[in-house]
Amino acid sequence: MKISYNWLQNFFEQKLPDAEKLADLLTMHSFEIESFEKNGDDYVFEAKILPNMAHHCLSHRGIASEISAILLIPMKTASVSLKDAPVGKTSAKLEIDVSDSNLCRRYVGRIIENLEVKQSPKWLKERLESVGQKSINNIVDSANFVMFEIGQPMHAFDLDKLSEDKGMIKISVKNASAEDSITTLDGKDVVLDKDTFIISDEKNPLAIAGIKGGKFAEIGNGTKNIIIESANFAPALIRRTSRRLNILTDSSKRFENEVSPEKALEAMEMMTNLVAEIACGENMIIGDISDFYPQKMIQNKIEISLKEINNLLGIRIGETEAENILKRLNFDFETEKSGDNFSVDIPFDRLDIRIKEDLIEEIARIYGYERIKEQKISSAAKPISINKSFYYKNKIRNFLVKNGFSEVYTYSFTDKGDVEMENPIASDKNFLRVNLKDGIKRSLDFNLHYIDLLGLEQIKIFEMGKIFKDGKETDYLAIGTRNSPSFKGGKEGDEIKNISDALSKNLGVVIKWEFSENGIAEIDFEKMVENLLVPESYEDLKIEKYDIERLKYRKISPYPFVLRDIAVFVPEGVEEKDVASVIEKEAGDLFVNKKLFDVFVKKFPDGTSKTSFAFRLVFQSQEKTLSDEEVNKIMGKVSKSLNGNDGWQVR
Amino acid sequence: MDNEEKLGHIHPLTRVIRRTNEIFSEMGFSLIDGPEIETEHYNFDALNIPKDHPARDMWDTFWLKPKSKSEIRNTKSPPVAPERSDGGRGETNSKLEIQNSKLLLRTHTSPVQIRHMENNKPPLRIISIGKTFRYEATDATHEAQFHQVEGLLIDKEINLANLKYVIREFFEKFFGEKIELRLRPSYFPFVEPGVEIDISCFKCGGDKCSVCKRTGWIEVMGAGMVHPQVLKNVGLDPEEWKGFAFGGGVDRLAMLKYGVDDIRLFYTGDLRLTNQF
Repeated sequence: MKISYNWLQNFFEQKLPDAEKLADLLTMHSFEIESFEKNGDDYVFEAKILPNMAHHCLSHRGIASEISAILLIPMKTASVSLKDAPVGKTSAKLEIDVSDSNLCRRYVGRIIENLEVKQSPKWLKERLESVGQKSINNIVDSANFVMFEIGQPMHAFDLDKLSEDKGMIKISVKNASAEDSITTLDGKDVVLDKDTFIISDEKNPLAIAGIKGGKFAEIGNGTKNIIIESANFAPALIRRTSRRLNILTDSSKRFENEVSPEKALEAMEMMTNLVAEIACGENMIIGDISDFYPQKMIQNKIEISLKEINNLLGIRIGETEAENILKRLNFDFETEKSGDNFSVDIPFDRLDIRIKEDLIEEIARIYGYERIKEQKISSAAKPISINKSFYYKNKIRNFLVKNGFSEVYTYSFTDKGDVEMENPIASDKNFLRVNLKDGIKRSLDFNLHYIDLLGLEQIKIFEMGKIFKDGKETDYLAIGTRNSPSFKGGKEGDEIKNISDALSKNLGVVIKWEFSENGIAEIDFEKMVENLLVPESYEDLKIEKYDIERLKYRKISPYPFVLRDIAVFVPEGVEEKDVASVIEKEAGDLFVNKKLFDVFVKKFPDGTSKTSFAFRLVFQSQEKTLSDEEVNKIMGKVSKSLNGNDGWQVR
Repeated sequence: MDNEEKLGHIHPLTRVIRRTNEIFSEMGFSLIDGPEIETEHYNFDALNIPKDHPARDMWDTFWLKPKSKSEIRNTKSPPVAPERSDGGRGETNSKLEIQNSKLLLRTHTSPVQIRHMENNKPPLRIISIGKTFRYEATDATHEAQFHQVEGLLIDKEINLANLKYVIREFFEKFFGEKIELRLRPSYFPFVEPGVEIDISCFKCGGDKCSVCKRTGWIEVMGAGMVHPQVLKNVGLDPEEWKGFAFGGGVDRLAMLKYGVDDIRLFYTGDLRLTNQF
């Protein structure tokens, strides 16, 4: 929600801290201020109001009350001062008929006659614009002002558009019938159904209750007489309806988060006084209030002890401090004689405070989480239980890694299977996978493109994860290998056969693997380890080599890599690593990898014998596609350096 | 990417998961698994997140088509060690409403809390680490599938100050640096009070760098004291038992620890990533 700093300031005599400081205070004590930016001489905050704070904080006054509690400064009940408008006798009369008081819990209506619709005064326009609202006219703006000021959605109808019977206007709040439709204020035609709650006169639907007004009784320049609505609708009804119709509004957002019905009357008075001030026409008459409110909300009272507060938070506050926090929160309370029990009256708009723990959270926020000093936990009463599945998964990982296999994770989503999603993220990701082998195959194909970059002769991978087949989810293991064209070792299929046999043997199990062509196999991991013993600890999972801390990821370059082969004759006694270190030293920042691909010894006519080492070098930039010239230049440097050694000769 | 390396490589997420389990094991937390296909009951209702409540918006959910409902029975126990000699891990709940509960891909690891509490007597100390799913557009910091770590401690006298201790211990060991915690008010329906946990930046120690987006703090977990309603839902008396719970993203921890800049890299089966670890 957007919040205006200046709007908030109007609730206080005292100057508020600067915007950055205020944002920080709210974030640490109330809710997250995600961002704020300068807007003329104002600042606009973007606040993340979660459902527990939404009852009171989807309004400037609610947020002002937070600031008042945090900073311990007094606040006014409104950001504007309005005079009470006198009530008179209108010529039209209003009757309210609510079909279901569980869905419409309160409906306050009022007729105002002979008003003047025009532009809003500058201050009001500015207020609304400061929170991103467009000014429409003084009546609509008044309704919006009240909503952003105290959180009660308001609505106004053009009275002269409504059907009347001898001066009596009947407003019905009821379910729509299946034939009904409505054109909303923004010009959309919406087909209604019998689950949709509407405001209606004797003939026409006027508004989708709590969500959106209709065009039919829209306030326009010619409007003289209006009915103001300040109502309260059940949160679940509004949430269901607005999602079904796909109409999300400032009003529906507040109602679905639940607004206290106690607010409706106050909001009506506020809007009336505002209209009286800024829309007063000749002989304006403000009618009586019609208030349908069959089940008055009962104020919640919570009994809480100091001990309960201190025990849950792990702090030691005394009676005085607890009392001070409750006062800052503006909660009425009584302290019982013993001094450590409080009976707290929860304000009507704090619908989030229903149980002791809710109240303890209030106290903690104002007390300050940063003041809670950590306390060690005692050692566990019983030893940990060893997770057999986790143990064997990691034992298998260690085994495979030792044998040159690297682990991959692939997606659980695929385009065919047994379990389908109602709402897939993409049309080819609408099922859950029934095997791991398809993912392994894709990964092999993918990695083969990078085999030189990776400095490998073979791609050897495995994955462990859930598959969804035969009416259940099952942990599976898959392994796969793919050779580079120049690989001189054994066939892929044989390699997979050997490693799977070795793994089964290592674990001492005789479960059959499912082999597929091209060097891929998978197995039901759960069956595989079914009869294995539960180990006593995780100790033997640790491999020193793999516990290196402070590994750092090097960004994968999006640019192509370039290969260069270089072979050099070196005298007897010079080893591969000597050649490699010269290459590495000269190859520079763009060099990423090398692979020894050929070694042979040649006898020369002079009787000496020399060894040839052939390396394939990989170059790649993080910033651009490398040109031949750039790489040739580096290779020139490498050659020169290699040739600079006594008896070395680049071929 | 060293060609002298004859060994293979362990995926960075696995490394983080193993280290996480190691650290919590030392503090007496047992690792528990749970199903990836969940019921609406365990994923939401039992965690005090009722239908038609705005809190549901905090978890964008993949729902499964009803056809698969008769086929997938996720009442089966995951293949893990029996937690207790007397109870085992029978994960079934015969209540009709639970059976009829809609199926979804779990949006968090929190259902494991419920499943475990239903079948095991307190005191309890568990963590759960596993794959979770959110129906959301993917970008460098969001994935539709990711991993979470969840923790739960239930005991007679347990408080928010204890939570602070456990979380700080974990992060100091995980990052190998001195860490400060910062708790901010937040909201998760299954805890009360509910907090967001920030850690002081392990990289710059608060001097403000790119890792902490120049704030000195990094948001890493949601946590709080277990909501009494959740305890009641699993048949525990909230007057007798208290507890705390916490949860965070494994992928995010891996990204922070190793400096990986795109979450999607974890799931593309790309050895250019794995082979760096």
